[in-house]
Amino acid sequence: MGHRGWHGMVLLRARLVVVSLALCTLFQSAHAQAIVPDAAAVRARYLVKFVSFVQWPAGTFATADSALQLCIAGDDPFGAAIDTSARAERVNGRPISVRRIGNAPPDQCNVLFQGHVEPDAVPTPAPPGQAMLTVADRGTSPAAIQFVEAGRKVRFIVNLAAAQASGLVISSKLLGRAMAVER
Amino acid sequence: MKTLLDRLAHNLAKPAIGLALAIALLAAGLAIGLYNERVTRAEKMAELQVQADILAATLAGPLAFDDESATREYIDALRARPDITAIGAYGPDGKLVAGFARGPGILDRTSRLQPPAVVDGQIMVTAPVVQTGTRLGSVRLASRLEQWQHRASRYLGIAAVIIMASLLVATLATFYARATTARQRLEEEMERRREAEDALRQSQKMEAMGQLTGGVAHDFNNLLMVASSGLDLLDRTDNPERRARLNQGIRHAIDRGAKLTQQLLTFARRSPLTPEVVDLGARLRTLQPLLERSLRENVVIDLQLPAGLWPIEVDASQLEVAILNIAINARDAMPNGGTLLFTAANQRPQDPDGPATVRLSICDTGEGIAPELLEKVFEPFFTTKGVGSGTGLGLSQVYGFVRAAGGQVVIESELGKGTAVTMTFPRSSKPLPHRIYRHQPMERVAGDVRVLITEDDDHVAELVSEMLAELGYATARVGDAAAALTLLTTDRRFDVVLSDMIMPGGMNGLDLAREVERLYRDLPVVLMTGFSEAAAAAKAEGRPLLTKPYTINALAEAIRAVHPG
Repeated sequence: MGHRGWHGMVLLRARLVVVSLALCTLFQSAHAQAIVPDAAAVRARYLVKFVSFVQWPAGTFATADSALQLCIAGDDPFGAAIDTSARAERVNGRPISVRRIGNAPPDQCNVLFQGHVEPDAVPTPAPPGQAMLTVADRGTSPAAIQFVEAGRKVRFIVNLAAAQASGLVISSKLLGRAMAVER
Repeated sequence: MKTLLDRLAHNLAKPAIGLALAIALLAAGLAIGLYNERVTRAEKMAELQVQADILAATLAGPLAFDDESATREYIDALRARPDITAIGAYGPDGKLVAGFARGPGILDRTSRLQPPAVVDGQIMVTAPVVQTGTRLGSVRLASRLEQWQHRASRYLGIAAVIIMASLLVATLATFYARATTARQRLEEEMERRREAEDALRQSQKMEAMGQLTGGVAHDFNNLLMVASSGLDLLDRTDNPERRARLNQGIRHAIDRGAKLTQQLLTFARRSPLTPEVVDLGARLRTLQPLLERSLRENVVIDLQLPAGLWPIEVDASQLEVAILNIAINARDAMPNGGTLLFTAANQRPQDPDGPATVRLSICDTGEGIAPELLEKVFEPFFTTKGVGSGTGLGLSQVYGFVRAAGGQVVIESELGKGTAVTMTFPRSSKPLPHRIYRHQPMERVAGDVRVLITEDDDHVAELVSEMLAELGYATARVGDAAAALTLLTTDRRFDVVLSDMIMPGGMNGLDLAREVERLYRDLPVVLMTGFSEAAAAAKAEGRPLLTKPYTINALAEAIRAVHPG
């Protein structure tokens, strides 16, 4: 009687292990098979998400709900994807306004993505003391956050010195996700 | 306070109440258990919620930047907790990003935020993943409620204690109730025993009475003979000297008879044990005439009692019964006559802490008791006398009386020489009751003093009237208390009421005395009776009393005591 009972317990436990293993496999395979989204769309989404992990100095914004200015200088690699992403987000209650400024000076910009520029075109530097998060693809332009391609994934490198020079504080959560942090 | 507690305990100590208390204790234990369970569950929920919030904060980065491996890493860290059955991390679109489940149906594929809840024995909590107001996704944690082994180990000890306590309370109440019942039964038993002892004492007394009666009746006949023949002779002689001698003889015979009946009545009185301070020598001397009556002429009573015997505290009537019992045994042991010697002495304590005692020895010169029987003589119903002669209660009464008085009794005997019974009583530190003897010469009262006689017996009334007239009082006579009260309403010129105690009609003499006292405060009432119990009742109220038969001197003294004239 006791022997049969014990045997039954072992069987039950074995079955439970099989079930939980199967479930885990199910989740993992579901993500492994997910289609890798377009790199530009990912970068557009990340660009918008960065905003949540960055703290601007006090007085940067005129009012509590004035929009955060996300400027795209040079070529715009994102197209409509950045508009879609920005529309969906609000950071601390502020909307995100996307501006494509070409080679114009990045006045009033809180985030500046430096897109590709022709070698002869010189981008207008930001006015000194302006708290602005600069983002660029790695190897194109110096920036606080630089996108890199790692295999089929989009990653980023944070340059803390650049961010601090602009008076910005970057959340450790963002630093934790960075492929590298440069000081 | 203590009695209040005792009464409370007494009232509570019933099996039903004990059971109710035990059930109440169990119910309280159960209630505490349930409350504890709820508190534990609430604490567990709060703790799980905190865990979910921490996980949500940790997953902000990984979820924002599609870092599934980091997400899974953080989730897997929590797998170490065996109570957590499922964790899910969901993206902003609500779809499952990563997670695990320890069973089917626990983890939803999509997320919706909800307050903490218990579903199918699982605690479910959710937490949003938010970064500076931006919703990045959500997490969901499921945990089983406390494992039954843990819960059992937590409650088993308490449950055991509570059940033991309940059992203890129930058992104690039952035992206490049983003890209370037993005590009540014992008290009833003791009461019955007390009653039986009272009855035994009375029957012992009556036994002694029976022994006395023969002698007393004989003596009475002698006295009546003296009185009768004296009266006859009085009629036949005119010689004043001879008449005076005859008168004196009749008087003497009547006095002896009166004394004898008085002693018999006192002796037979049914009374509870009432210890009083007694002068042993005086008592024995008072008892001597009665002893002489109850023994035969060939038995000589010799009292060798020193003066200054210490007082003792005993029940006087029981003392007399005991002495009579010993005397009767002695008489029966001396069929051919002999001497009954009473000796008494004060005994100083043998050791400093011991009590001072008074010893009384009663020795006869009879046949003696065989040594093998000597041990048994104090046992009730043990008798060496023939059937119909004795009940065997005599010496057992002596033993019981002496023990009750705190003393000791020893019997010694030698065959052919005699028997000695020695009783020792503790000396009493209380003084003897005070006695006043008044001797006033008989003289006629001057002036007009009126006495109202209330007496139903015509002969007695007539004699009393004559005695009062002889003393110089004016009298009126009624037959009962009601008539006396009626007469007093119309004729208030009485100075003393002299009333019998036992009379026909609803009112006795004592009632009359009370009523007269109430209505006429300054009119004294003197009571007279031949009944010892009535006399005791009158004495208890402190009323002036004449005990029948009484002499003209006693009458004069009693009237003068309440109305000095």
